[in-house]
Amino acid sequence: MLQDDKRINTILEILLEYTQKDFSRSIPVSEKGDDLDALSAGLNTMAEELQAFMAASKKQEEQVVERTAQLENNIRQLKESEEKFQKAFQASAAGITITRISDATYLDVNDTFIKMTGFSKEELINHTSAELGMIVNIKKREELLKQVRQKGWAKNFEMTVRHKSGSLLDILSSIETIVLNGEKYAINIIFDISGRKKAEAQLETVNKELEAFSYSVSHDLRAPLRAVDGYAKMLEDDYAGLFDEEGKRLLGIIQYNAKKMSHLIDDLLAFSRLGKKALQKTKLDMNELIEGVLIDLGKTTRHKAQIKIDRLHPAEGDYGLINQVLVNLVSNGIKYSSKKKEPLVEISSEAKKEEIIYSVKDNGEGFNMKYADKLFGVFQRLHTPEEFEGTGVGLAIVQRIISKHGGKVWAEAEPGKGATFSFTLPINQITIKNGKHRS
Amino acid sequence: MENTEVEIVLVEDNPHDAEMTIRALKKNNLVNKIVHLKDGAEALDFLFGTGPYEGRNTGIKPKVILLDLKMPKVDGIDVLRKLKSEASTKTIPVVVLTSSSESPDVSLCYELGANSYIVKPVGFENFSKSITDLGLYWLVLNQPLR
Repeated sequence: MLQDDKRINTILEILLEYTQKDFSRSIPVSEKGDDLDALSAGLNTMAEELQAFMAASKKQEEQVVERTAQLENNIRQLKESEEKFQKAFQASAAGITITRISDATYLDVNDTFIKMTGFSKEELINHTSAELGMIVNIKKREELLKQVRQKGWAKNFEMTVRHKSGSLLDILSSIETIVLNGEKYAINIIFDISGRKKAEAQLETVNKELEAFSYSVSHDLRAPLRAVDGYAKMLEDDYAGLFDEEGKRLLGIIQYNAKKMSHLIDDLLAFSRLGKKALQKTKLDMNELIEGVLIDLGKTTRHKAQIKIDRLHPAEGDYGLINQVLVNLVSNGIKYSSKKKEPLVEISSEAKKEEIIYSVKDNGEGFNMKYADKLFGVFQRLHTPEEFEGTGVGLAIVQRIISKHGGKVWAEAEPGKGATFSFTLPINQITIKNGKHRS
Repeated sequence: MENTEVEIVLVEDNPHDAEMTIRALKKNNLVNKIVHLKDGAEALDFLFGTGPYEGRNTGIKPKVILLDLKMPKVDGIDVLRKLKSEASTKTIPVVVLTSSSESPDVSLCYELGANSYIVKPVGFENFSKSITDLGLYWLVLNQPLR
């Protein structure tokens, strides 16, 4: 019996440990197989099951903690994102509205939109732009709504709307749709482009005026010039016998200057026309272009220059304008080398990473580099008409055309040894670098 | 003079351009009977036999009308429009002369029925040559409607 008491004590001791969640010891089971042994074995099984259950519940508890942390994080992110949206919504330089598509009423509007339209938030929310008299062209609005309903979006839609004060403003609107609780809403991003529209209209007026001006310059300056030249010629034809040598010389000067002024007018007009012409870019075979230029030049100018042309890189540009650049540069090369014994004009090209450099080199008169900045100005010349004919517009035209193409022009020269005029044409206007657009 | 044959009607407000034109035509013996009218209003009066030209035999048609565009009172465009819209005058060839290639009116002139459009060269020699050429074409080569 004493033996049994001891066994019971051991069982109680270990059970006490179990209540402290200490399952390190299991209850000894003797080989007798009596009742106490059966009890011990049963308790051991229970302890194992309890242990397993506790482990499982602990794991579950941990999962709950983790999940709670995740949820808290999600809520925080949501709050942050909501805050970000609210900040963006309010701080945006664009007017932003959220409208229910079914009845076109405003659900929310930002401060910019309030300022833009002159209506208060209270006046706007739950009302439609049509109710508030903002819509100027109902057809245009219907067209916009129809597109939003069909496609779910609209981009850069131009409209005129009425400010609360009654004044009109031009807006640019882009719309995306979202679904909230099964209801469709339109997010409308709106820019006030009244300023831009006004500037565009002014620009058009100025352009028209400029066109009218150049028309009248070409028309009204030519008529008296024709009379000066014509009457001088009549004098020459009908009264040649009455003039001595000096008289004929003076008459010749009148005619020479009349012709010169006529060239100046032509060149000035050509230069001013460049401003209004939009570029029409195509692929250009520069060798083919140069060949054409040389054939045309051969018809109008007699020269003995040798012309060397490399195999040139193709380019992208406006055919007519780049042709003009080549005409001006090559004819300059021929002109300024014409006094040399063996005039030589060399045309070459070199490909760089983002651009191609084209050069026209001559072995002619050259110039002092300290005057280089004067080369490309309108009516700027480095030579007198007695030395070399010219109006001083050719290089100004070259520069204007090349800068319109996004390239640059420069010259290198040495007096008496010749000059090299170079220009670049970008290989591709939108260069993609490291997968990102350059801004 | 109003009832005799007229070969060329020159409508030109600039007296010097007119003198040079007439000189070029006469010098090459292309024409003797030129009528010079100094603005659009006078041109219409002459061609339709109205105003100071009342009673002129308008049945006699010029072989060609040389018409300047920029003129006081009635400008060349209005003259052209009127001529080409009237049955009695619409078959008369009209050559538009202008000082500028910048003119916004080229296409309008052709739409209105101009038969030719010429920019007057500045240099007198080229100017004379252009006038001589067009005189030769319209007075000698061209077969008018009888």
